[in-house]
Amino acid sequence: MKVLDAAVVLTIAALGLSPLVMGVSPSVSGPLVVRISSPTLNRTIRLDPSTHLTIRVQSRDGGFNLVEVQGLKVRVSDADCPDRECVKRGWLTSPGDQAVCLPHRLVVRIEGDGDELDGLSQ
Amino acid sequence: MRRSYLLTAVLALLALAGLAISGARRDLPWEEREVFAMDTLMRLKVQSDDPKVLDRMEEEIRRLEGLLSAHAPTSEVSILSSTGALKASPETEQVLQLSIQVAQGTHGAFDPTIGALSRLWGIGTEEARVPSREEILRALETVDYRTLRYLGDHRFSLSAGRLDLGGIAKGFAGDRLVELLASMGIRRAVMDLGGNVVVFGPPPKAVWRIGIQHPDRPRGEVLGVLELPERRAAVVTSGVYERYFERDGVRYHHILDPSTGEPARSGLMAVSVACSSSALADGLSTALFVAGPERGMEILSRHRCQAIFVTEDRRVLITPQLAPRFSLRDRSFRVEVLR
Repeated sequence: MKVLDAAVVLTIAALGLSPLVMGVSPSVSGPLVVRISSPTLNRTIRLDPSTHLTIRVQSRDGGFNLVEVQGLKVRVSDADCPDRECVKRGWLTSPGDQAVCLPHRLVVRIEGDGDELDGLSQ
Repeated sequence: MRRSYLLTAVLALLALAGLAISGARRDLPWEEREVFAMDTLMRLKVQSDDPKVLDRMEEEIRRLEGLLSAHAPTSEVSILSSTGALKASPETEQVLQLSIQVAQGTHGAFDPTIGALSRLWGIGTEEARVPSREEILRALETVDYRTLRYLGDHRFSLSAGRLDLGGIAKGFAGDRLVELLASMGIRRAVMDLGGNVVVFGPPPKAVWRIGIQHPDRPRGEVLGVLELPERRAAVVTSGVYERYFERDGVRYHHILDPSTGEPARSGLMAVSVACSSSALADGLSTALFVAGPERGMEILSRHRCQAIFVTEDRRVLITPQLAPRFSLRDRSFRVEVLR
Protein backbone atom coordinates (compact mmCIF):
# COMPACT_ATOMS: atom_id res chain seq x y z
CA MET A 1 0.00 0.00 0.00
CA LYS A 2 2.80 2.36 0.99
CA VAL A 3 4.67 1.53 -2.18
CA LEU A 4 1.55 2.20 -4.22
CA ASP A 5 1.01 5.55 -2.44
CA ALA A 6 4.56 6.59 -3.17
CA ALA A 7 4.23 5.54 -6.82
CA VAL A 8 1.06 7.64 -7.25
CA VAL A 9 2.63 10.67 -5.61
CA LEU A 10 5.81 10.27 -7.66
CA THR A 11 3.79 10.13 -10.88
CA ILE A 12 1.86 13.27 -9.92
CA ALA A 13 5.12 14.99 -8.97
CA ALA A 14 6.70 14.04 -12.29
CA LEU A 15 3.71 15.37 -14.21
CA GLY A 16 3.58 18.51 -12.13
CA LEU A 17 7.29 19.24 -12.47
CA SER A 18 7.54 18.41 -16.15
CA PRO A 19 7.07 22.03 -17.23
CA LEU A 20 10.00 23.03 -15.02
CA VAL A 21 12.23 20.29 -16.37
CA MET A 22 11.27 20.76 -20.01
CA GLY A 23 10.98 24.55 -19.85
CA VAL A 24 7.68 26.02 -20.96
CA SER A 25 8.32 28.77 -23.43
CA PRO A 26 5.30 30.39 -25.03
CA SER A 27 7.38 32.36 -27.52
CA VAL A 28 7.98 30.47 -30.72
CA SER A 29 10.44 32.06 -33.06
CA GLY A 30 9.18 32.45 -36.62
CA PRO A 31 10.38 33.70 -39.97
CA LEU A 32 9.93 37.27 -41.21
CA VAL A 33 6.63 37.64 -43.03
CA VAL A 34 4.70 40.47 -44.58
CA ARG A 35 0.99 40.58 -43.93
CA ILE A 36 -1.16 42.40 -46.46
CA SER A 37 -4.74 43.02 -45.36
CA SER A 38 -7.51 44.95 -47.02
CA PRO A 39 -11.26 44.47 -47.48
CA THR A 40 -10.50 42.54 -50.69
CA LEU A 41 -7.30 40.66 -49.84
CA ASN A 42 -5.70 38.95 -46.87
CA ARG A 43 -2.34 37.45 -47.65
CA THR A 44 0.81 36.55 -45.72
CA ILE A 45 4.09 36.17 -47.60
CA ARG A 46 7.27 34.77 -46.15
CA LEU A 47 10.21 37.08 -46.84
CA ASP A 48 13.46 35.65 -48.11
CA PRO A 49 16.20 37.07 -50.36
CA SER A 50 14.81 35.34 -53.45
CA THR A 51 11.26 36.73 -53.15
CA HIS A 52 10.50 39.30 -55.82
CA LEU A 53 6.89 40.08 -56.63
CA THR A 54 4.41 42.86 -57.06
CA ILE A 55 0.80 42.54 -55.97
CA ARG A 56 -1.97 44.82 -57.15
CA VAL A 57 -4.57 45.28 -54.41
CA GLN A 58 -7.93 46.56 -55.63
CA SER A 59 -9.90 48.67 -53.18
CA ARG A 60 -13.67 48.54 -52.83
CA ASP A 61 -14.05 51.97 -54.44
CA GLY A 62 -12.21 50.88 -57.60
CA GLY A 63 -8.82 52.24 -56.56
CA PHE A 64 -5.57 50.33 -56.20
CA ASN A 65 -2.31 49.96 -54.29
CA LEU A 66 0.77 48.20 -55.66
CA VAL A 67 2.66 46.24 -53.04
CA GLU A 68 6.22 45.39 -54.04
CA VAL A 69 8.20 42.69 -52.25
CA GLN A 70 11.91 42.73 -52.96
CA GLY A 71 13.81 40.17 -50.94
CA LEU A 72 13.59 41.12 -47.29
CA LYS A 73 11.96 44.50 -47.86
CA VAL A 74 8.48 45.61 -48.87
CA ARG A 75 6.84 48.85 -49.93
CA VAL A 76 3.71 50.30 -51.46
CA SER A 77 5.26 51.41 -54.74
CA ASP A 78 2.19 53.10 -56.24
CA ALA A 79 -1.41 53.94 -55.37
CA ASP A 80 -4.20 56.19 -56.55
CA CYS A 81 -5.36 57.26 -53.08
CA PRO A 82 -5.56 61.03 -52.52
CA ASP A 83 -2.75 61.49 -49.98
CA ARG A 84 -0.44 58.65 -51.07
CA GLU A 85 0.81 58.38 -47.48
CA CYS A 86 1.27 54.64 -48.00
CA VAL A 87 3.69 55.29 -50.89
CA LYS A 88 5.53 58.03 -48.98
CA ARG A 89 6.18 55.55 -46.16
CA GLY A 90 8.88 53.93 -48.32
CA TRP A 91 10.55 50.58 -47.68
CA LEU A 92 9.52 48.46 -44.73
CA THR A 93 12.38 46.35 -43.42
CA SER A 94 11.88 45.46 -39.75
CA PRO A 95 9.23 43.69 -37.66
CA GLY A 96 6.55 46.20 -36.72
CA ASP A 97 7.13 48.42 -39.78
CA GLN A 98 3.87 49.15 -41.54
CA ALA A 99 2.37 51.18 -44.35
CA VAL A 100 -1.27 52.15 -44.00
CA CYS A 101 -3.63 53.45 -46.66
CA LEU A 102 -6.61 54.90 -44.80
CA PRO A 103 -8.72 55.68 -47.89
CA HIS A 104 -8.36 52.11 -49.21
CA ARG A 105 -8.31 50.43 -45.77
CA LEU A 106 -5.04 48.67 -46.57
CA VAL A 107 -2.38 47.61 -44.05
CA VAL A 108 1.01 46.22 -45.08
CA ARG A 109 2.96 45.11 -42.04
CA ILE A 110 6.14 43.13 -41.41
CA GLU A 111 5.85 40.62 -38.62
CA GLY A 112 8.33 38.27 -36.99
CA ASP A 113 10.91 38.19 -34.24
CA GLY A 114 12.82 41.35 -33.60
CA ASP A 115 12.85 44.28 -31.31
CA GLU A 116 9.45 43.59 -29.86
CA LEU A 117 7.86 46.61 -28.27
CA ASP A 118 4.43 46.38 -26.71
CA GLY A 119 3.40 49.52 -28.58
CA LEU A 120 4.59 52.56 -30.47
CA SER A 121 3.23 55.96 -29.50
CA GLN A 122 3.11 58.21 -32.53
CA MET B 1 6.72 4.81 8.96
CA ARG B 2 7.16 8.50 9.83
CA ARG B 3 9.82 8.86 7.13
CA SER B 4 7.49 7.50 4.47
CA TYR B 5 4.80 10.06 5.44
CA LEU B 6 7.40 12.81 5.25
CA LEU B 7 8.52 11.67 1.80
CA THR B 8 4.90 11.48 0.62
CA ALA B 9 4.19 15.00 1.92
CA VAL B 10 7.31 16.45 0.26
CA LEU B 11 6.48 14.83 -3.06
CA ALA B 12 2.87 16.00 -2.90
CA LEU B 13 4.05 19.57 -2.23
CA LEU B 14 6.45 19.37 -5.16
CA ALA B 15 3.62 18.16 -7.37
CA LEU B 16 1.38 21.02 -6.33
CA ALA B 17 4.18 23.56 -6.84
CA GLY B 18 4.88 22.16 -10.28
CA LEU B 19 1.25 22.30 -11.28
CA ALA B 20 0.94 25.86 -9.96
CA ILE B 21 4.01 27.00 -11.91
CA SER B 22 2.88 25.33 -15.10
CA GLY B 23 -0.55 26.90 -14.73
CA ALA B 24 0.91 30.35 -14.16
CA ARG B 25 3.18 30.05 -17.15
CA ARG B 26 0.53 28.86 -19.54
CA ASP B 27 -1.02 32.19 -20.49
CA LEU B 28 -4.05 32.64 -22.64
CA PRO B 29 -3.43 33.29 -26.32
CA TRP B 30 -3.31 36.81 -27.74
CA GLU B 31 -6.14 37.68 -30.11
CA GLU B 32 -5.66 40.60 -32.47
CA ARG B 33 -7.81 42.77 -34.73
CA GLU B 34 -7.35 45.87 -36.85
CA VAL B 35 -10.19 48.36 -37.02
CA PHE B 36 -10.45 51.41 -39.25
CA ALA B 37 -12.40 53.96 -37.22
CA MET B 38 -12.21 57.59 -36.06
CA ASP B 39 -10.18 58.47 -39.18
CA THR B 40 -7.36 56.17 -38.20
CA LEU B 41 -6.18 52.57 -37.91
CA MET B 42 -6.65 50.90 -34.54
CA ARG B 43 -4.96 47.69 -33.48
CA LEU B 44 -6.54 45.77 -30.61
CA LYS B 45 -4.74 42.92 -28.85
CA VAL B 46 -6.28 41.04 -25.96
CA GLN B 47 -5.23 38.02 -24.00
CA SER B 48 -8.40 35.99 -23.99
CA ASP B 49 -9.86 32.82 -25.44
CA ASP B 50 -13.28 34.43 -25.84
CA PRO B 51 -13.67 35.50 -29.49
CA LYS B 52 -16.49 37.87 -28.52
CA VAL B 53 -14.17 40.23 -26.66
CA LEU B 54 -12.79 41.80 -29.85
CA ASP B 55 -16.33 42.04 -31.27
CA ARG B 56 -17.46 43.93 -28.17
CA MET B 57 -14.46 46.24 -28.37
CA GLU B 58 -15.07 47.01 -32.03
CA GLU B 59 -18.77 47.63 -31.37
CA GLU B 60 -17.87 50.06 -28.61
CA ILE B 61 -15.46 51.97 -30.86
CA ARG B 62 -18.07 52.23 -33.62
CA ARG B 63 -20.71 53.36 -31.13
CA LEU B 64 -18.43 56.09 -29.76
CA GLU B 65 -17.49 57.17 -33.28
CA GLY B 66 -21.21 57.52 -34.03
CA LEU B 67 -21.62 59.81 -31.02
CA LEU B 68 -18.47 61.89 -31.24
CA SER B 69 -17.59 62.30 -34.92
CA ALA B 70 -17.35 65.89 -36.14
CA HIS B 71 -17.98 64.69 -39.74
CA ALA B 72 -21.11 62.54 -39.31
CA PRO B 73 -24.08 64.95 -39.38
CA THR B 74 -26.12 62.69 -37.08
CA SER B 75 -23.54 62.46 -34.29
CA GLU B 76 -24.33 64.14 -30.98
CA VAL B 77 -21.29 66.36 -31.42
CA SER B 78 -22.53 67.53 -34.85
CA ILE B 79 -26.02 68.14 -33.46
CA LEU B 80 -24.57 70.33 -30.69
CA SER B 81 -22.44 72.18 -33.26
CA SER B 82 -25.32 72.82 -35.63
CA THR B 83 -28.17 73.51 -33.18
CA GLY B 84 -26.24 74.90 -30.19
CA ALA B 85 -28.07 72.59 -27.79
CA LEU B 86 -27.91 68.91 -26.82
CA LYS B 87 -29.25 66.50 -24.25
CA ALA B 88 -26.27 64.18 -24.24
CA SER B 89 -25.86 60.45 -23.82
CA PRO B 90 -23.77 59.45 -20.78
CA GLU B 91 -20.64 58.95 -22.92
CA THR B 92 -20.92 62.24 -24.80
CA GLU B 93 -21.61 63.99 -21.51
CA GLN B 94 -18.46 62.46 -20.01
CA VAL B 95 -16.22 63.46 -22.91
CA LEU B 96 -17.67 66.98 -23.10
CA GLN B 97 -17.23 67.49 -19.37
CA LEU B 98 -13.65 66.28 -19.63
CA SER B 99 -13.02 68.55 -22.63
CA ILE B 100 -14.23 71.56 -20.64
CA GLN B 101 -11.99 70.57 -17.71
CA VAL B 102 -8.91 70.10 -19.89
CA ALA B 103 -9.59 73.39 -21.70
CA GLN B 104 -9.88 75.20 -18.37
CA GLY B 105 -6.83 73.43 -16.93
CA THR B 106 -4.71 74.39 -19.95
CA HIS B 107 -6.10 77.95 -20.33
CA GLY B 108 -7.41 77.07 -23.77
CA ALA B 109 -4.24 75.49 -25.18
CA PHE B 110 -6.60 72.56 -25.75
CA ASP B 111 -9.89 73.87 -27.07
CA PRO B 112 -12.81 71.63 -28.17
CA THR B 113 -14.47 74.53 -30.05
CA ILE B 114 -11.70 74.62 -32.65
CA GLY B 115 -13.94 73.00 -35.32
CA ALA B 116 -14.27 76.00 -37.66
CA LEU B 117 -10.50 76.45 -37.72
CA SER B 118 -9.81 72.72 -38.38
CA ARG B 119 -12.30 72.81 -41.27
CA LEU B 120 -10.73 75.94 -42.70
CA TRP B 121 -7.24 74.43 -42.89
CA GLY B 122 -8.50 70.96 -43.85
CA ILE B 123 -5.19 69.38 -42.86
CA GLY B 124 -5.25 65.64 -43.48
CA THR B 125 -7.95 66.01 -46.14
CA GLU B 126 -7.91 66.62 -49.88
CA GLU B 127 -9.03 70.20 -49.25
CA ALA B 128 -5.92 71.17 -47.25
CA ARG B 129 -4.85 74.75 -48.00
CA VAL B 130 -3.31 77.85 -46.44
CA PRO B 131 -6.20 80.18 -45.60
CA SER B 132 -5.95 83.98 -45.77
CA ARG B 133 -5.36 85.97 -42.59
CA GLU B 134 -8.91 87.34 -42.81
CA GLU B 135 -10.36 83.84 -42.99
CA ILE B 136 -8.30 82.77 -40.00
CA LEU B 137 -9.42 85.78 -37.94
CA ARG B 138 -13.05 85.12 -38.84
CA ALA B 139 -12.76 81.48 -37.77
CA LEU B 140 -10.91 82.47 -34.59
CA GLU B 141 -13.88 84.56 -33.48
CA THR B 142 -15.80 81.30 -33.01
CA VAL B 143 -13.05 79.51 -31.05
CA ASP B 144 -13.59 79.85 -27.31
CA TYR B 145 -14.12 76.90 -24.98
CA ARG B 146 -16.14 79.11 -22.61
CA THR B 147 -18.98 79.08 -25.17
CA LEU B 148 -19.43 75.37 -24.42
CA ARG B 149 -21.46 75.12 -21.22
CA TYR B 150 -22.92 72.36 -19.12
CA LEU B 151 -26.45 73.35 -18.07
CA GLY B 152 -27.17 70.40 -15.78
CA ASP B 153 -29.47 67.42 -16.39
CA HIS B 154 -27.18 66.12 -19.21
CA ARG B 155 -27.77 69.29 -21.25
CA PHE B 156 -25.09 71.34 -23.02
CA SER B 157 -25.18 74.58 -24.96
CA LEU B 158 -22.73 75.94 -27.50
CA SER B 159 -23.21 79.63 -28.24
CA ALA B 160 -20.67 79.91 -31.07
CA GLY B 161 -18.45 77.84 -33.29
CA ARG B 162 -18.12 74.16 -34.05
CA LEU B 163 -16.87 71.33 -31.89
CA ASP B 164 -13.95 69.15 -32.90
CA LEU B 165 -13.10 66.47 -30.36
CA GLY B 166 -10.31 65.03 -32.53
CA GLY B 167 -7.84 65.91 -29.75
CA ILE B 168 -9.58 63.81 -27.11
CA ALA B 169 -12.10 61.35 -28.65
CA LYS B 170 -9.60 58.54 -29.39
CA GLY B 171 -8.23 58.93 -25.87
CA PHE B 172 -11.72 58.70 -24.44
CA ALA B 173 -12.32 55.54 -26.48
CA GLY B 174 -9.20 54.06 -24.85
CA ASP B 175 -10.61 54.68 -21.37
CA ARG B 176 -13.98 53.21 -22.32
CA LEU B 177 -12.29 50.09 -23.72
CA VAL B 178 -10.32 49.65 -20.51
CA GLU B 179 -13.58 49.83 -18.52
CA LEU B 180 -15.15 47.30 -20.86
CA LEU B 181 -12.20 44.90 -20.53
CA ALA B 182 -12.23 45.22 -16.75
CA SER B 183 -15.96 44.45 -16.65
CA MET B 184 -15.36 41.34 -18.77
CA GLY B 185 -12.55 40.11 -16.51
CA ILE B 186 -9.90 40.30 -19.24
CA ARG B 187 -6.37 39.85 -17.92
CA ARG B 188 -4.30 41.82 -20.41
CA ALA B 189 -4.69 44.03 -23.44
CA VAL B 190 -2.67 46.36 -25.62
CA MET B 191 -4.51 48.90 -27.75
CA ASP B 192 -3.01 51.14 -30.39
CA LEU B 193 -5.69 53.68 -31.22
CA GLY B 194 -4.09 55.55 -34.09
CA GLY B 195 -0.80 55.98 -32.26
CA ASN B 196 -2.36 56.37 -28.79
CA VAL B 197 -1.06 53.38 -26.88
CA VAL B 198 -3.13 52.02 -23.99
CA VAL B 199 -1.97 49.04 -21.93
CA PHE B 200 -4.12 47.15 -19.46
CA GLY B 201 -3.20 44.42 -16.98
CA PRO B 202 0.09 43.23 -15.53
CA PRO B 203 3.03 43.68 -17.92
CA PRO B 204 4.08 40.32 -19.41
CA LYS B 205 7.78 41.00 -18.73
CA ALA B 206 7.78 43.16 -15.56
CA VAL B 207 7.34 46.36 -17.61
CA TRP B 208 5.41 47.47 -20.67
CA ARG B 209 7.84 48.64 -23.35
CA ILE B 210 6.41 51.56 -25.33
CA GLY B 211 8.40 53.08 -28.17
CA ILE B 212 8.24 56.81 -28.87
CA GLN B 213 8.12 57.64 -32.59
CA HIS B 214 11.24 59.36 -33.94
CA PRO B 215 10.06 62.83 -35.04
CA ASP B 216 12.04 63.08 -38.28
CA ARG B 217 12.46 59.46 -39.37
CA PRO B 218 9.99 57.16 -41.11
CA ARG B 219 7.03 55.79 -39.18
CA GLY B 220 8.03 52.92 -36.96
CA GLU B 221 11.50 54.24 -36.16
CA VAL B 222 11.94 54.80 -32.48
CA LEU B 223 13.47 57.82 -30.72
CA GLY B 224 13.49 56.05 -27.37
CA VAL B 225 11.68 53.50 -25.26
CA LEU B 226 9.59 54.00 -22.14
CA GLU B 227 9.35 51.16 -19.63
CA LEU B 228 6.19 51.33 -17.57
CA PRO B 229 5.42 48.93 -14.70
CA GLU B 230 1.83 50.17 -14.28
CA ARG B 231 -1.19 47.92 -14.75
CA ARG B 232 -3.01 50.65 -16.59
CA ALA B 233 -1.25 53.30 -18.63
CA ALA B 234 -1.67 55.39 -21.75
CA VAL B 235 1.05 57.05 -23.80
CA VAL B 236 -0.13 59.61 -26.33
CA THR B 237 2.09 61.57 -28.68
CA SER B 238 1.31 64.71 -30.66
CA GLY B 239 3.86 65.42 -33.37
CA VAL B 240 4.41 67.60 -36.42
CA TYR B 241 4.85 64.47 -38.56
CA GLU B 242 1.37 63.05 -37.94
CA ARG B 243 -0.74 65.02 -40.44
CA TYR B 244 0.58 67.85 -42.50
CA PHE B 245 0.90 69.32 -45.97
CA GLU B 246 3.62 71.39 -47.62
CA ARG B 247 3.28 74.58 -49.69
CA ASP B 248 6.18 76.61 -51.02
CA GLY B 249 8.64 74.70 -48.87
CA VAL B 250 6.72 75.30 -45.62
CA ARG B 251 5.27 72.43 -43.63
CA TYR B 252 1.84 73.06 -42.13
CA HIS B 253 1.06 70.46 -39.44
CA HIS B 254 -2.33 69.67 -37.91
CA ILE B 255 -1.87 70.87 -34.33
CA LEU B 256 -3.52 74.28 -34.48
CA ASP B 257 -2.89 76.95 -31.86
CA PRO B 258 -6.31 78.23 -30.70
CA SER B 259 -4.77 81.64 -29.93
CA THR B 260 -3.18 82.31 -33.36
CA GLY B 261 -5.33 80.12 -35.61
CA GLU B 262 -2.20 78.66 -37.22
CA PRO B 263 -0.16 75.48 -36.75
CA ALA B 264 1.44 75.78 -33.31
CA ARG B 265 5.03 76.97 -33.29
CA SER B 266 6.39 76.35 -29.83
CA GLY B 267 9.83 75.08 -30.77
CA LEU B 268 8.67 71.47 -30.50
CA MET B 269 8.60 68.53 -32.86
CA ALA B 270 6.57 66.28 -30.58
CA VAL B 271 5.18 65.82 -27.10
CA SER B 272 4.37 62.50 -25.45
CA VAL B 273 2.21 62.30 -22.34
CA ALA B 274 1.94 59.29 -20.03
CA CYS B 275 -1.10 59.04 -17.75
CA SER B 276 -3.40 56.40 -16.34
CA SER B 277 -6.25 58.10 -18.24
CA SER B 278 -5.95 57.87 -21.98
CA ALA B 279 -8.40 60.76 -22.55
CA LEU B 280 -6.40 63.07 -20.31
CA ALA B 281 -3.14 62.03 -22.00
CA ASP B 282 -4.73 62.76 -25.38
CA GLY B 283 -6.03 66.22 -24.45
CA LEU B 284 -2.83 67.16 -22.64
CA SER B 285 -0.51 66.07 -25.45
CA THR B 286 -2.21 68.58 -27.78
CA ALA B 287 -2.21 71.28 -25.11
CA LEU B 288 1.45 70.78 -24.16
CA PHE B 289 2.48 70.90 -27.79
CA VAL B 290 0.69 74.24 -28.21
CA ALA B 291 1.93 75.61 -24.87
CA GLY B 292 5.59 74.57 -25.19
CA PRO B 293 7.80 73.20 -22.41
CA GLU B 294 7.72 76.14 -19.99
CA ARG B 295 3.97 76.70 -19.90
CA GLY B 296 3.59 72.96 -20.36
CA MET B 297 5.32 72.23 -17.04
CA GLU B 298 2.96 74.65 -15.31
CA ILE B 299 0.01 72.81 -16.85
CA LEU B 300 1.47 69.45 -15.84
CA SER B 301 1.83 70.58 -12.22
CA ARG B 302 -1.99 70.48 -12.04
CA HIS B 303 -2.30 66.94 -13.44
CA ARG B 304 -0.98 63.55 -12.41
CA CYS B 305 0.73 62.94 -15.73
CA GLN B 306 4.28 62.84 -17.03
CA ALA B 307 5.63 64.13 -20.33
CA ILE B 308 8.45 64.09 -22.86
CA PHE B 309 9.00 67.20 -24.99
CA VAL B 310 11.09 66.79 -28.14
CA THR B 311 12.42 70.16 -29.29
CA GLU B 312 13.41 71.36 -32.76
CA ASP B 313 16.99 71.82 -31.49
CA ARG B 314 17.16 68.08 -30.74
CA ARG B 315 16.69 68.06 -26.98
CA VAL B 316 14.49 65.56 -25.17
CA LEU B 317 13.04 67.31 -22.12
CA ILE B 318 11.59 64.81 -19.70
CA THR B 319 9.75 65.07 -16.38
CA PRO B 320 11.65 63.67 -13.37
CA GLN B 321 9.46 60.64 -12.65
CA LEU B 322 9.67 59.45 -16.25
CA ALA B 323 13.41 60.04 -16.70
CA PRO B 324 14.63 56.74 -15.16
CA ARG B 325 12.14 54.83 -17.29
CA PHE B 326 13.22 56.28 -20.63
CA SER B 327 16.10 55.03 -22.75
CA LEU B 328 17.19 57.15 -25.71
CA ARG B 329 18.14 55.36 -28.92
CA ASP B 330 19.18 58.24 -31.15
CA ARG B 331 22.28 59.77 -29.62
CA SER B 332 22.07 62.87 -31.83
CA PHE B 333 19.46 64.03 -29.29
CA ARG B 334 20.31 65.13 -25.76
CA VAL B 335 18.19 64.23 -22.74
CA GLU B 336 17.51 66.91 -20.10
CA VAL B 337 15.47 66.28 -16.98
CA LEU B 338 12.93 69.02 -16.27
CA ARG B 339 12.66 70.39 -12.72
